[in-house]
Amino acid sequence: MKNVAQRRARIRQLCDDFDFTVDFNVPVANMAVGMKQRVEILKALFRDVSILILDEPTSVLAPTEVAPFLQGVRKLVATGCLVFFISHKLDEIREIADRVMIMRHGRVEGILPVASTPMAQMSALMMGQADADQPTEKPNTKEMRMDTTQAAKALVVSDVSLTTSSGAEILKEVDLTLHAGEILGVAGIDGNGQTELSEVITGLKRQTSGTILLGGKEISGSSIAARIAEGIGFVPEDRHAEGLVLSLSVEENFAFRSIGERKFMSGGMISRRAIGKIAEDAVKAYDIRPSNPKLNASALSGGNQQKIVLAREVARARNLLVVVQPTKGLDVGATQFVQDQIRAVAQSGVGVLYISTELDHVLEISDRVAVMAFGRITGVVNPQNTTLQNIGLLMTASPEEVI
Amino acid sequence: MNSLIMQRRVAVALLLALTVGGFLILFDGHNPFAAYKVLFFESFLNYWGFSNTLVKASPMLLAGLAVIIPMRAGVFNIGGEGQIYIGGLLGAVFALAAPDLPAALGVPLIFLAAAIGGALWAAIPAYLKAYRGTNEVIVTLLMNFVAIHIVSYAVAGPLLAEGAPYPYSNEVAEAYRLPIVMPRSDAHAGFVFGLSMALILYFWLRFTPSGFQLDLVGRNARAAAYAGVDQKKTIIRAMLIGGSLAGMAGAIEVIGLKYRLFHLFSDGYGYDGIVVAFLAALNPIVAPLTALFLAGLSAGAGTMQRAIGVDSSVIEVVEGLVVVFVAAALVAPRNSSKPILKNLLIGGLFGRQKHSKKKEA
Repeated sequence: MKNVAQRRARIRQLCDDFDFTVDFNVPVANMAVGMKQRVEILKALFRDVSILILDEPTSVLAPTEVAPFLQGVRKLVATGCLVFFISHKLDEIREIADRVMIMRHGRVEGILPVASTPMAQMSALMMGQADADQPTEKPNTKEMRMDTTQAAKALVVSDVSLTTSSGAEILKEVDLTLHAGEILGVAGIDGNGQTELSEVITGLKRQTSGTILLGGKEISGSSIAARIAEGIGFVPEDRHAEGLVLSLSVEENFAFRSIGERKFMSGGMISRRAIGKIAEDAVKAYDIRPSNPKLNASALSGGNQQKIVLAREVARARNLLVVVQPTKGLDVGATQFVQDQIRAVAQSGVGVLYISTELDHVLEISDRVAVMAFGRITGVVNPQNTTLQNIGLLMTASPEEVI
Repeated sequence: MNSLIMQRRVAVALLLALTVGGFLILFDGHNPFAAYKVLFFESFLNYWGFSNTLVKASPMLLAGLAVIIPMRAGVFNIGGEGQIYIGGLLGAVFALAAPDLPAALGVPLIFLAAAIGGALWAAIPAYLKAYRGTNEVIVTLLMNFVAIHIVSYAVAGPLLAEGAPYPYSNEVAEAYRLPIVMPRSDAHAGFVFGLSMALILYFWLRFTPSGFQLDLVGRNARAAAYAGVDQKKTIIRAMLIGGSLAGMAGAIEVIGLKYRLFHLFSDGYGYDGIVVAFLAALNPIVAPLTALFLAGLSAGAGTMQRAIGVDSSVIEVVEGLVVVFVAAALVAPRNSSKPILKNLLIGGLFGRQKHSKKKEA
């Protein structure tokens, strides 16, 4: 490729071959994501690749862009190129792939010909095949659950949508009702809008449309601080970057989210003594180690850091506790402890929204489980009498299949 | 990073800077111990020398605080110099326009005018940073030159005193002049004012919710957002406070020392403030000490030259070394065993930012 004109001609040829529309005069930064994706593919084609690895390539494409894109990939395969197509969308796999390798927790569960394998079997392998069609009932937890569906509504999310400035629909017409004392699990594959749902409810992001009621009171437009004052506790996904300030002491970490609250103040000033007292009690109650609240939070292990966040937010949650991935990176003992604390909060009458990609944990702790896919609630199931296969299908449901 | 560790590292950095400076004095053919003895004796233990140190320390202290507060919110204010000039200008304009007020009213109003001037000058980069994502370092730095020339224009034109041989304004009324704290010297009450500001800011950051939240934004912006703190407003607030502090440093130069508005009246105090701030590890209560130290170096340099014959430019080199070593100390990794030397060699000089203390992974 000697000069720009020749290169242009070659790229135009490629665009024609693969039915790609790319505006040559727009800087890549200003392109829509779909066009950026096409540029990425063009780069690979331009270099005459023989092996192409695509990792969730359709996740940023608009639904209308997916079909032409998949056709392009198929044309590429026809030229003799080998394509690895990584996706969690089973219908895409069915449409594009010759063979499918199903992975779960880092292990290969099976390599199957796509044409002769039913969707249900793939889904079962994804979810863990052993008991995929058995009810997920856990006998030891069944008795403890009380019927909370008659309790007052702690949180009502109606018709909430979130669209980014570039037009991607992160949340689509989400409806959820959470009763006081209930644990509502939210299951789904990572990146299907669960994190954003938690942020919209707690005020970190503002929904594009829809309303949120907390105990019957509208909070759709309230600030984060106002929602904190309304008794919403929030354990965010990333405790290091968001839930904690690692350069502050453990005791300051108990106070930073609502430093102006009366319990941290004395005579109009921040009371270091009051903060120290509250932190000391929490450190004891949660057995946070090392037990010196003057240490920087960075000196503690991940499990103990998570305990700080949990203890702080549980104490704040009078009406609603939103937890996202609360057991991420924790060992079995710490996980058990976190689950017990969350159950105890619910028992005291607080509604708990339990968002996690760890399906086992969600099913174990929740009274009901809402499944999310592509920013929608694809179903709300009772963990006592649903099957993993059913949940798996809801998690991988493509947008067109939903309602 | 733990502030205790930071302060210890800064102390080591200072010692290293003085040691390297000592070798320079030695190579220049003089006894470094004798030179440093003269330097510090003349700056801190001699009556006239100390008065001179105090005169320089006042604007340095306020300029240092003007760096500390924005930096605690994660914003680097290099614009202290320009904010000093605009503050001095507005303070002088007010003093000259209303010469007959009682001192108890006039002086606070001069400070207020200067604070507003500095704050307005800082508001421009603050707005651009908060709402347009513009780099505050570049904007504040470049605005310094604009401010210096605005003052040069003002004293060469509209404010020029009649028959002046040099661009300066008329004298401010005697009632407005700051009291002298060391009789027969130039040492005015400016340092006392700066000291009280340092105390107030220390307590504000530590014991009030708004101060705590400002600090939170600098430590971890995402966690601050999670705590409901508005990052944009906090940036604006921090820069307005910084600008007003630097602006008042300008007023102190006008009504404390020179009694006129001069062309080029601040000799880089805004930049000295950056050194003061980082030497103090961004702690307002330590800033008076580091301002005195830096002012002492600068005030004693001339005496040292006269007494020992060491060229006073060696002291400028030492000041530069202090900046380099302190910068290296502050970017040192948390657990590095030889943070300062190592970073000076492999990191500090090349601006490695990976371990910057303001960023939390």
